[in-house]
Amino acid sequence: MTSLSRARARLEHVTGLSAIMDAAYDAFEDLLAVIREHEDPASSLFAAFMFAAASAADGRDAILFAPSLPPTGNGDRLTALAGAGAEISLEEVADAAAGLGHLLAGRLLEAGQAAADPGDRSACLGAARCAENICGLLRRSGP
Amino acid sequence: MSSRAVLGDFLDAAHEQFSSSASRREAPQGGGDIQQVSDSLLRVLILMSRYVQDVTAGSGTVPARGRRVLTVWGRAGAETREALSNAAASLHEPGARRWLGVSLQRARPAPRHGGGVPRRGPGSPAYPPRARSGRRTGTALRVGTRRHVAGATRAVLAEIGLLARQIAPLGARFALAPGSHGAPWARRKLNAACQWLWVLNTRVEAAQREDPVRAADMELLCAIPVNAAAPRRLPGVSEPVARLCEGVISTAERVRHAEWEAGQQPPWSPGLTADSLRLVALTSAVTSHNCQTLLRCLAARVDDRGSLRDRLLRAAEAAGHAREGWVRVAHALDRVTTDTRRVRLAICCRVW
Repeated sequence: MTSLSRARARLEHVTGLSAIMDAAYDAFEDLLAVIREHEDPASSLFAAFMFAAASAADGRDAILFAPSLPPTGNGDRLTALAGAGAEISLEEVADAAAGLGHLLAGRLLEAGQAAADPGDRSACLGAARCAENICGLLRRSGP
Repeated sequence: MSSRAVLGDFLDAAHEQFSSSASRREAPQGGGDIQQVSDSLLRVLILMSRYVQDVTAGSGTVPARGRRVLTVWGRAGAETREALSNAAASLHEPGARRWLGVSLQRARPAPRHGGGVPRRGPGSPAYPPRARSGRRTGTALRVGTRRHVAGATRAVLAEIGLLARQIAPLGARFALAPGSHGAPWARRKLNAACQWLWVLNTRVEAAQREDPVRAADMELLCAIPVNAAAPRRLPGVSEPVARLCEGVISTAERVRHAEWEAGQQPPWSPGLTADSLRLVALTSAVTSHNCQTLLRCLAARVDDRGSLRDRLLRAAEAAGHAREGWVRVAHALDRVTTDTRRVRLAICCRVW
């Protein structure tokens, strides 16, 4: 959960296409790690978590080959993963993942529409769709 | 054997058209447009060149000095290509160079009598006996071995020589006939092209005298079916053996065509990506999970007597094992990716 919060904060403040893609890549990785950690066959969220994890991996892969993605990340990955796994309910994890997915979708959509390179545009829009899927799978239904 | 058109049908039609009295005598006297005849001849030359190129691939680039190492018919093939190229160049050099796609040589043939009567006709001893397409006797079409390919090459060149022998006097008559319409330069071009056809015929005749074409090769060539696979048709219960044999042949042709088409496809499946593999793993995991849940629910509802409840529970346990296996696969695929920049499949986006 700490990793999701950190990813969310970073994604909210980052600017520039390369920086957004770099933050998005790490955010997808964080989502994947957290979701996998909380997959529980005994839970009613098991199927949703499985599909959301696949979308997180797909979203990460979508921007992996983007021309403007920096070759290396910012080094926060290990720290972020180490902070995951605190005592928290599955519903809270789903809420946090859905919120991050929503933010990811918005930032990537915005970056993709502004990208000049077709490769960057395609990567951002594809990853945005994956983020929307995560949000749609894990958000609470109702108003 | 079959009602399908074969190459022999086309050859028969061509020979009959060229040898008909209307074509050979009356048409030139009745007048004609030289340019139109030249254009028609150019199309025929292009067609002949394609046939020759098919059976003599590569030999057209052999220099004249190096042709001594070729076989008789290999040399004849190179000279035939050269003669056709020069004939086309005589008619329309820029177009011929573009259409034929072979190097053109500007050498001119030794002058011959343009309107001369052929010294040897199609039935002359210089040419092999050729069965008409209607008299085929069921040649087994096992084209593909080196011997058959060599035989087909000889047969094609012999047929091209025959056609050239028929066309050359016709074109020369048009070029020289006072009744035809055309500029002197157009007449000279047409006549020069026909001279090259004479040269072609001479080269083929020389090869034929040295290494005669076998009648079986000619028959094999004439029996080659047109390059269009017959439609698929399931045999009835009372089909005669001959029809069944036809079905086997047409099926083999369709399989060969399908194999050729498959060869054009990439050897891997563009749809097999990390995304698609993940989709398979997670749907299998979820399906196994749902099966386990359903089986447990059923086991809880059945009477405790008998073995059904135990069997349902065992099945639920097996489904759980399957789910765990698929989950492990899905986790492993988290670290797998494929470069899908060119072939991007949005499977996960469409599946929702």
